[in-house]
Amino acid sequence: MSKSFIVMRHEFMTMITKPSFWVGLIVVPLIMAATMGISLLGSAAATAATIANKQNQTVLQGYIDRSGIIKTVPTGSNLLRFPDEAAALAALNAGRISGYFIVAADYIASGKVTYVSPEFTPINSPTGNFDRVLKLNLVGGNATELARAETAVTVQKEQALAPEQSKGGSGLPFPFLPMFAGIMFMIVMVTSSSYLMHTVSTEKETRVMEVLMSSVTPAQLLAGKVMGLGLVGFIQMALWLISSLSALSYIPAAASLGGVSAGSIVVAVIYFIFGYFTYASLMAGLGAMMPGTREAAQYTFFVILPLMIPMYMVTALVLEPNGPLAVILSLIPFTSPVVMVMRITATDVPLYQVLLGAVLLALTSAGVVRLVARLFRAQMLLGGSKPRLKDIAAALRA
Amino acid sequence: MNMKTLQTGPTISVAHLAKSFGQAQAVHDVSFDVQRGEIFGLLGPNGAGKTTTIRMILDIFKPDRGDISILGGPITDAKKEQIGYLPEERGLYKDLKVEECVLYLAELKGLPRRVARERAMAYFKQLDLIEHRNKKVNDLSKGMQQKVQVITTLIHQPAVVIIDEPFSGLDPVNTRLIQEMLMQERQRGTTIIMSTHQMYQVEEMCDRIVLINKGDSVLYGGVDEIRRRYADNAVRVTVRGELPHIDGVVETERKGNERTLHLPKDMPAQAVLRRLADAPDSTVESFELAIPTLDDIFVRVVSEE
Repeated sequence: MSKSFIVMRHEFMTMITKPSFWVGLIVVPLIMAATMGISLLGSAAATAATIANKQNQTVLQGYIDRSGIIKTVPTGSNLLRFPDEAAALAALNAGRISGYFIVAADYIASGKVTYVSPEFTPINSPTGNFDRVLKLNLVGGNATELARAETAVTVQKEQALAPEQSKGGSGLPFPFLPMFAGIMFMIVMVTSSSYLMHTVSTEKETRVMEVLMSSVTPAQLLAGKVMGLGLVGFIQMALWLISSLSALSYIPAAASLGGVSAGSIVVAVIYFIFGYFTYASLMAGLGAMMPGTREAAQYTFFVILPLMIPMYMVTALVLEPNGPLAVILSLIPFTSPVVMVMRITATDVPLYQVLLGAVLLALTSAGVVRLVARLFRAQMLLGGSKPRLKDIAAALRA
Repeated sequence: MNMKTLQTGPTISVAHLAKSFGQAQAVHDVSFDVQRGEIFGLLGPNGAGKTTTIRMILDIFKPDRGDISILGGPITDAKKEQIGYLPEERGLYKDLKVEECVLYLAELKGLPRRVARERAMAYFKQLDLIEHRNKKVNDLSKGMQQKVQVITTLIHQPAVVIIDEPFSGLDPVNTRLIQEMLMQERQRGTTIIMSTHQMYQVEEMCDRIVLINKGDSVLYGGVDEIRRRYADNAVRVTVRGELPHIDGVVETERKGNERTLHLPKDMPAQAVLRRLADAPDSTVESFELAIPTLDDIFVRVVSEE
């Protein structure tokens, strides 16, 4: 049996038999679910309040009637008719109207009305006046038209000006899936790679390292640890993903979130693997350099900081998943594992960006592994003091 | 096929070994051979280069210069599984259960888990650890941890055992127990390199030694031969009654009831014994050649260096 495999199995078994692992596995998603629930309620309330506030401001709204049923518009309705969407869009861009409705040509049959506004307002549509105008025009003695008049406005699809914001159309006030996916990736990568660093520095501190070095090479040890703890992280992520998608499928408003494509999952797995290798290697290198867990922990933050940066920008990233910030961060190898996963769960990402990000991340991962392998040597692993910069530089050059 | 039956020359041969770390020269020129089935003492003051030499033998460090042959040639991954190593600074997984820790380290030495478990149980029984095998290592006393460490060193029945201060932290009963285990290993044909500062253990157990000082091997040979080499012409006697005057004695030292009589180079010890036996007012209780202890030799050589 290969030495790396023995190390891998040991790390895997040691980790999954720890009660803290199972507590984390269960508690973390619960905390996240609770946090999301609170955010959901808060966000819904805030959105409703914003809409109500805007409606109170009595601004003009436009409409394009492709069905030809609107004959009468009572005065005081604050509605402006436009012959086509281009004219309405021009008025919207000029700030003359706050939004416009498009009544579909087959409205009588389909009841389809689209509302276009510069802002994404998913909870409550500002249909107030227009609803009344439509009902008024629908009533004409015809039973079918009357029945339709009772549910005059059923907005089938709400379309904001930025087309990508309409993906999912779940009715959730905030695209939580991308945020959830990003946080999940970050947590799994940070915990797995931090634990790897912890095991290396503990083995140094407790002097087990010297016994290990008489049996395995540093490369075998590093490979076994990275694979074992990576497997734990992968299983952890898979369990969280399956359980969260299952849970979301029971929430009607979030039902469409269950439709994460197989392609997205493949991309996520690829980014996870390379991202994990990058960060796990960096953390292993940190563990190898520092004399003990305490010293290593002091530098952990600096290593994982790039993974956390997207969390500080999460709103901008998930609301504009194809914006310049999201695109750039999803191509930078140290942030891409989190940001690309956010993007692919939020919108359709151009294939070239997915491939370019993956290639850059893979190359970085390979480079980091090679550099860390140079640090992960007996002299460093058995050292009892913090290495000087010139020692590290010499090891990297070797 | 067992490597022990194949190998004919020295089990370990170290020739002109040198190793530096940056500007610091840890080992300058160390050479020695270790024969199969002997207990070989690797001695030296702190910082002399013993641990670095051991790490080079184990292939943990690559030497800058010099040659190492082990079990008939350069070290390989397969040969590493034939070596048991007990470092001075003990290393066990504190959070693991005793048995799990032993099994993992045994597997890394190439022992199948099932065999490792059987042997571990036998050792646990022998060393009175059977009731502690499911405890975490951290919950054991220092002495018990030391015994667990010895098990991890011997469980794969290595051809070569390298042990650094094997008796530190052990009470006299357990010291004797580990001593007997090492003697049994020697009888099995195992080659043992023992590094220790406890010179009486070296005198008691080792066949030959090398003394390293400041990175150089400065004393090398059989324990008895070295002690004789460093012996003055002197005898230690204990007599009841008055010690008679003995012609030719250069100097007399007294330590308790024992006296050390330093003699001229050409004066035989038998002359002293005859004179003591003839003295009417005294009875000889003990008489021996005053051969220096390894402790004395160690201090003398290191001081002279």
